[in-house]
Amino acid sequence: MLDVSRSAAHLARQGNGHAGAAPFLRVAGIDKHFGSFQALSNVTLDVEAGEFVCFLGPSGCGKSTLLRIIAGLERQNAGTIHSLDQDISDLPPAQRQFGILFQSYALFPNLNVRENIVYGLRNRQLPASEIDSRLHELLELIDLKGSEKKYPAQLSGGQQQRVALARAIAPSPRLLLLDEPLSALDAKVRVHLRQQIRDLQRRLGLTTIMVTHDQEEALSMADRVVAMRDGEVEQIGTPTAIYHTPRSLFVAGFVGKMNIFPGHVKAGRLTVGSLAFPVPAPYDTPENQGDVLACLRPEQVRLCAPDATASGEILPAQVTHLEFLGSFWRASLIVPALGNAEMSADLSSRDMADLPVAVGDHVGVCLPRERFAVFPLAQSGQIREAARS
Amino acid sequence: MTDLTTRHLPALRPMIEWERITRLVAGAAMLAIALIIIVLPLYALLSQSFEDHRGNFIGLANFVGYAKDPILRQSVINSLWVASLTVALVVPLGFLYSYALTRSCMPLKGVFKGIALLPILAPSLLPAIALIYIFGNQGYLKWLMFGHTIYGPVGIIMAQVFHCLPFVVLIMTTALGTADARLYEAAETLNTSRWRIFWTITFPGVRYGLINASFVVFTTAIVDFGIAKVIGGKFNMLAVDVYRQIIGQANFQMGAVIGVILLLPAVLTFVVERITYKHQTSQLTSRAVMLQPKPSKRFDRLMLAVVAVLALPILGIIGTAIFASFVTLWPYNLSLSFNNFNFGAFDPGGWLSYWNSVEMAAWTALFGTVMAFCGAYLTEKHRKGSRVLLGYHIVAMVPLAVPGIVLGLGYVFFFNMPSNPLNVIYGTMAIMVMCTIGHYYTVPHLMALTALKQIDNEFEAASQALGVSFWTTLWRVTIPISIPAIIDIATFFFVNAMTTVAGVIFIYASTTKVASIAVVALNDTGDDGAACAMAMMILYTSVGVKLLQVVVTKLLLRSQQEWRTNLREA
Repeated sequence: MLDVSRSAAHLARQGNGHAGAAPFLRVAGIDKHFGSFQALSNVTLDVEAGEFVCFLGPSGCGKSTLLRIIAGLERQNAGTIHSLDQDISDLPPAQRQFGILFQSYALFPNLNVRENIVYGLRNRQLPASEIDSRLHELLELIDLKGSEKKYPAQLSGGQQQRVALARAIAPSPRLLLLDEPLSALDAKVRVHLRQQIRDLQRRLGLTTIMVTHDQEEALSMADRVVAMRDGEVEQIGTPTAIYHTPRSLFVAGFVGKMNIFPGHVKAGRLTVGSLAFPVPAPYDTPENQGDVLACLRPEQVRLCAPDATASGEILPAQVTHLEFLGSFWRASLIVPALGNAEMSADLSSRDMADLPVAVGDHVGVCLPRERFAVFPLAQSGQIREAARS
Repeated sequence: MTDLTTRHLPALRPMIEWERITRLVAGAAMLAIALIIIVLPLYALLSQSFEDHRGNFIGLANFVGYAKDPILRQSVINSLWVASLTVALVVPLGFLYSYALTRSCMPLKGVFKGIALLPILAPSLLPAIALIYIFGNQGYLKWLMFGHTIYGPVGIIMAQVFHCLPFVVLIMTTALGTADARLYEAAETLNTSRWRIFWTITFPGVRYGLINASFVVFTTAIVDFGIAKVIGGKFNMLAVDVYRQIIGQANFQMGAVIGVILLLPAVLTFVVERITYKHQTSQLTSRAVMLQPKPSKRFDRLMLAVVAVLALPILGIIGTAIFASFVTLWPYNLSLSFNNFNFGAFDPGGWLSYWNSVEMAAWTALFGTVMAFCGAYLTEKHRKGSRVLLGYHIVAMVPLAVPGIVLGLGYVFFFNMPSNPLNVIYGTMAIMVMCTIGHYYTVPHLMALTALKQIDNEFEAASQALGVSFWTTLWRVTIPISIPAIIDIATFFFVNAMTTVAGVIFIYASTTKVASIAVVALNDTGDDGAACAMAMMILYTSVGVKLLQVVVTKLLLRSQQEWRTNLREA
């Protein structure tokens, strides 16, 4: 497995995370098929107590199915789920004590905010005063005091989502599962709620798994990201690891833009056009031999004056196109030294102020060799796959 | 804030899964009931058709015997051409009527739609009897027949057109009402003529509706018993043949054979309906813009005129029935009185038949609604992987392909078997209610399914995850949301139970005789005034219940407006 996660021990509470102890949740060898369609194959991962884990992938990659299997709403065809060494593979959802926030929120439209939030508390034979005090705490937590008499239809999308969240955490679940919780909201509310959910999760120390197809959401919220493709786990790692050292071209393309150059690896050295340097450490693997794809994110490319070609890493290039994207500019360049390859470079406004460029300008490009990612040529189809989703 | 944090993880223990057990038991019970009221009687009928009167299996001998009988053969031909002609008349008329209602801006649309649907609330006997008053031997418009007789195919077809128009209007207004305005806008910007727009956009959009309506009318016309019985005279039709073979000649095997033959068109309709349904629903994408008709003075007036001309005979027939019910003795004593409503003077059953009808309709509405809703609920929300519920769903679809007279006959064979422990209910109200529920089961089942499909499936998942039993969520959420649909279903059952004749004609006893049967009996004895009065009592009751439904639903929706707005988005 490609687990490059940092330890989540510092997030674990009350000693659950110390070395050697069973993880809070251990998913092992999960298979699931619907008819002849293989939705999940051999999915294995651990979640530590207090962690925020994101399942990231395009639609149809099986991430929601995996969440539903963890919740007990779907039954796996093979594999086990353990929580703190206890086998919960066959428990019905109610007995797993997991809270779930659904994509559609699934708020009961005929019940008001209060009734929705306490829905899962009523059958626990709690005294009314306790239910009330819990309701008030939750209302305060989601910042909806005074709205307890309103019906879901009278709330905005963001408010509905918060009510659904309160309903999910009201019975003090052991684990919180979020199924694309933000996808139904517009962009601004989404960013705001992203922080709120993360904040709440930290404050409560609640172990959380979130499913999303939005890479920005996953990178900004998660302690660890589980990148999925076609029912399989591609990579598990911290957001920075996923972004900077992706383990496949699919992951690389899914979480951001990549410049891709044909390259060649021989005896630990990567040749790209006229450049040749040692293969970056994470990619010095047996698969990366012979013809490869050498990739570099556009924001890693730096431009400099054309006369600064002294160093071997600075190559002459010509600007063919400039696109203004608000917080930055994206420049398209032709680099003769890379076999007239076309590439993109992202320039911040400050970069532009330091070195204004225009279409047709001759510039120098600086390619930081340690930032290259290298993939076997066989993966070249994956870039289209990642872009399509 | 401390007690909001995760509680300290108690061990998870597996408990008895009451929910799974309940679900299994409920599903099995629903399937068992559905089998008893629908499938087993049909099986009894089928096996009877392959047996001689001593119960020995004789293969197709009964069918061969049937085919050799020239009189019975003639019935098949008669039924086929009468039904075909009915289709040829009522489908274009219904289409025109629906076109006016959906594609013009004529005034009084609601009123005219109500008029077109009125026949659904009356027993099929009513137009037949009213037509006798209009065109019969003593009819006030007899001269319009130019010496021909109304008794026979002419009368049957006229009454069928009246009886079937609501079905066509219901199907066609739905088909015509869902059109994509963008197609019409595109055609107009390309400067297409109205005529060409009609044939290239409107017609292709509704052709499945037309096919569906044609088959529904064809089947209804073939299997209807009441009309042919009252106005058919000596003209033989299949449905009446069943009655004659069973009641007249006690030839149960031959009755069963005709019953099986009657199943054929209905099964065909069923298959066509299922196929066209899939096509019809996939016509519109979610991005379609609903077509809103634009006012056009000339076109709207023309359409109003068309609709008014078509509505006139409907009102004429019902008006005649109302008038005839108050006339003391047609045509000799035209003074108005309530004599015809003194049913005891004409028929030993008297008013009891009417109250029996109301009682039967009430029980049917109550049990039918509970059954259809519970069954549909289990099917829609808990079907996954359950063969029992899949089986139930299939059985629930069967009645759509079974004419009432065929199911009724099956009840005779099944419940009259001495070996059947259920034969204690023979001759009671219970068997009438069961037969009526079974006969009309498919439409409510589909109504309930449609209503439940609109409820987010995640509700079930959410309550599971919250540790709330499914019956709690059913009671607190699903049923409250579905109340309008439940009222709809109850009304459907009630109205159909009031008007049905064919389903119960073989299984009523003197103590459980219902109003629609009384109409047949009164017509048989020549008491047409009283028959009219009884038929009108059925119509008044159905209209009353329908109005009650509209008012109750409106009040309910108003009081729940707060949460019902945007229900679909929520």
